Amino acid sequence: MTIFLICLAGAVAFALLAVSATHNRLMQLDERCESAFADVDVQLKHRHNLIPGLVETVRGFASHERGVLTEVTQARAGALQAAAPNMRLEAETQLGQSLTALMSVVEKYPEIAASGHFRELRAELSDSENRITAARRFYNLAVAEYNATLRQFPGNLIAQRKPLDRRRTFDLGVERVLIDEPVPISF
Amino acid sequence: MLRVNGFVGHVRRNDMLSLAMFAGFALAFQMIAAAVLFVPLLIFDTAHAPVLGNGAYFARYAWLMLLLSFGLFLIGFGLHSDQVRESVGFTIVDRRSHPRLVNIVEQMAIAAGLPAPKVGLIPSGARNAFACGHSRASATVVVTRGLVEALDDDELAAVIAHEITHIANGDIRLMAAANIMMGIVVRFEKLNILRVRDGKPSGCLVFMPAIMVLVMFAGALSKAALTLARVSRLLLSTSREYIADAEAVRLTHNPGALISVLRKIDGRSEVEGVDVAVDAMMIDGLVEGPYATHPSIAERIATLLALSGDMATSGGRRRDTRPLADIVEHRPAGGFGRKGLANRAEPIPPAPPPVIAPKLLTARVNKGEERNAWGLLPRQSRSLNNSALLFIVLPLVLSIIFIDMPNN
Repeated sequence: MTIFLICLAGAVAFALLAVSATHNRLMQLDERCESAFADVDVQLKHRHNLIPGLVETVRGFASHERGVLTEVTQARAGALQAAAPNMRLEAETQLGQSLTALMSVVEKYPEIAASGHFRELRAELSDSENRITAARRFYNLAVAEYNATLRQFPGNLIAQRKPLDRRRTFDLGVERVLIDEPVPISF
Repeated sequence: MLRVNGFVGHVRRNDMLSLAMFAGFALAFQMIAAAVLFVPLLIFDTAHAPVLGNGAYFARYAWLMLLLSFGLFLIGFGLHSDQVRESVGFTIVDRRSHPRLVNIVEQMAIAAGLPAPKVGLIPSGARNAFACGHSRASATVVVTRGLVEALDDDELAAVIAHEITHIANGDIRLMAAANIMMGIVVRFEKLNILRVRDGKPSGCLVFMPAIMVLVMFAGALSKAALTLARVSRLLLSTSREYIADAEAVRLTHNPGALISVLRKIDGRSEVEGVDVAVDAMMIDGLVEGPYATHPSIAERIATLLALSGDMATSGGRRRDTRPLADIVEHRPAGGFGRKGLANRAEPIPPAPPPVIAPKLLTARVNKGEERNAWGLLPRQSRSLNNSALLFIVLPLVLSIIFIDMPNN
């Protein structure tokens, strides 16, 4: 009888320990997701800050390409206003697409591409793009880990009790390899 | 609880593992203590001697030994002084002379939320880096010149993030503590009077069977304890390295750069004249032998790939602000061009074939060890075997001779 009670107490203690460890792990993962998202956010802000300079530079050379320029400006404004994560995601995707359009328009104007200022901006934009991608992927890894732990036992039991939702990964559509310096070809 | 779904789980698991390893040291100390105390207790307190006392040893002495090991550890931990600097000989550099290096260190320190550590440089062509110092405030990150010249900015940031994680997690003190425990175990092992010493012949033991059994038992026990302590240190250090790798990815968001660093330093990381205690904090160190502290590069790369998936294989373009003269790959092989530049660093040694460490941890730490599982040198073991053979064969031969003699 005594042995049975000891075993029972041990099993209960173990279960409690497992649950509390998983709970702590989930909290830690949640925090990790938050901070990883904040990292993405910082990089996105950086990109937003680069855009006005870029738009003005292009306008200086090709002010009649109004359509593309307005589109970029509006997309930026939309991204700045978007608050909910889902809208945010869409707005950033939109901004990325309009930037790609802008860059393809610029290809028509060799004098823009030759401008040192534009080249600097483009290099910085491409650098910023790389950082966004890296931060976003890291965020997605954290989200994947969080979601997996949330669905596994005993995380699923904890998730029923506490308002813990699965998180969405931050995907900007197809992986874009854009705005990189074009490979110089000479004959 | 120990499930690994990603980086956080990986770090947590290794944290638990390193905690468990201190229990390994305590157990090793207990084993050594039992072997050391056997003879004195046999003489003075037979009732509580190990083995003979029927468990009474544990009631009286094992607890004392546990306390003693803890006390010795605390004393060693408190007295541990900053011995690193003299043994390696690095110079502290500043922003004026090495702006690129100092900038990267400061960026990573900010990312990790630490005060910027001092930056040291070893004038060596080897590729390695380590962290030293007592507290977060007095820490120093040291890199070799070979490393700074061989890595681009992202790669260098990955190395620095690895070392800064060692500082942030207090691994420097932890490994110092492990080395102290190791030292205590080794010193106690020498106190064992039943130990077969190097010069002593062991063959004569055969003629004292009771003592021989004791000696063999004590020898095996202390050898096992030594192996256990070494395995503990290896696992402790290994888990800290894995954590530092994982955290470096968190700080840099660039597992690809870290993997490329590991490939670049593989087999080229040995800095001459480095203390073993420092070795524990190096980004790459001994993988096998009694002083093994690091997982092999192949294992680390495999772990990083498993944890970061496609993030590791598809990175953007790397940043590289090295002055062109420093880029190792661009330097002429010598013989023509700017001689002064080419001669600035010693030639880069060709990468040796990768180390394939034995899978079994005990085999890994005992690689190159002369003494066998009974604590005997090959010579002693041979002489003991020969004597034992003689001890068995001689009576047999004699008995055959005497039995065959006509009974008259």
